[in-house]
Amino acid sequence: MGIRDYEFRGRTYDQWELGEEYITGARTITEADIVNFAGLSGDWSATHTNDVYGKGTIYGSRIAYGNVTFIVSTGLLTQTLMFEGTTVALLDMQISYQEPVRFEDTIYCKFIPVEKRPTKTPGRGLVTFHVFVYNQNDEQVAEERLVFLISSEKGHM
Amino acid sequence: MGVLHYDFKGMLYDEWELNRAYTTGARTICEADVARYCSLSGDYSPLYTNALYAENTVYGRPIVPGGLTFIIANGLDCQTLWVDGSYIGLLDQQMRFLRPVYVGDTICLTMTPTAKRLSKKPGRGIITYRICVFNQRDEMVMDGTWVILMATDRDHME
Repeated sequence: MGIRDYEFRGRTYDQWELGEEYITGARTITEADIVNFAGLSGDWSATHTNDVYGKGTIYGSRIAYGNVTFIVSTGLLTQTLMFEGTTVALLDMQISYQEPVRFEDTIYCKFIPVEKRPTKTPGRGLVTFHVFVYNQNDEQVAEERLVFLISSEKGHM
Repeated sequence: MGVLHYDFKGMLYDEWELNRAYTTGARTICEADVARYCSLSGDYSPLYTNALYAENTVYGRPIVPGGLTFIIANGLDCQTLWVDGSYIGLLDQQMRFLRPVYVGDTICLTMTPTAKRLSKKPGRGIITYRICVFNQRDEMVMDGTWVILMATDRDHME
C-alpha cells in the first residue's frame, strides 16, 4: 500500500461514447470568486470590479468575468473525475458567451463527446466535447468546444 | 472630483488599427499562481498538482494549466489600459494550446485586429483579434482569436 497504488478514475479514450450526455455538479459564483480572479489574472476591468461603473453599463450591475465561467466549467468537468489521470492535454478551446453571469448565479455544465480521432502516436486519441453552461434558470450562459488528448490506458504513477 | 470623474484610458473602436500587432508587457508564471488557479477553478488535475505523476507524463514535470496561461494573457491585455472603459463585453474566444508552459516561464502576447464591424446598436462595434502568446524563447505557446464588443465613442464609456 502506498502513494503509487491509487487508481485514477478517468475514462480512457475508448471508454468515451459519442453522443452520450453528462451533467456536472453545480457551483455558485460568488463575489469572492470575482475578487480572487481579478487578483490572479491581473484583469481589474471596471465592469467587474467597480460597482458604481457596473450600475451604468448595459448589464446594470457588476457581472462575473466570462473567464470565471470558463475556468469554473473546467473545474466542474474535472470534479466529475471522468478526466482524472487519462487526460494528457487540452489542445484547443472555444467559448462563446450568450448571457452575463451575475453574482450568486449557480452554474453547471452539460457535456457531450462529439468527435473522436486516434492520433499518429499510438496509445492516445483526440476527443472533442461540446459543453453547454447553464445558470440556475436553465438559461444557457456559454457554449464551449474543448479538444482533449486522452490516453488509451488508465492513469498510473 | 470623485469616483465618477475618472477618465478611462482605453482605445475606442476606431482607434484600433487593422493588422497592427499590439504587444503587451510580460509576466512570469510562478508556483503560487498555479496553486491559486487550482483553488479558484476547482481543477486539481494531477498534471499540475502531482509531481510524482507528472514525472511519467510526456512533459516529465508538472505543467501550468492552459486556463491559467489564458487568463494571465487576458490580464496582460487589461494592464496595458488599451481596453480600459472601452471594452463592453467579450463575445467569443478561441485558443489553441501549442506548447506546454512551465512554472518559471515568462509570457507576453500580441493582439492584432483582423476584422472590425459596427454592431446594430449605436455606440458599439465588434473587433476580432488574432491573439498570439509567446514564452521567453519567443516560442508561440498559444494562438487564437478573441471577439470583443468595443465602445465607439466616449459617451458610451460610462
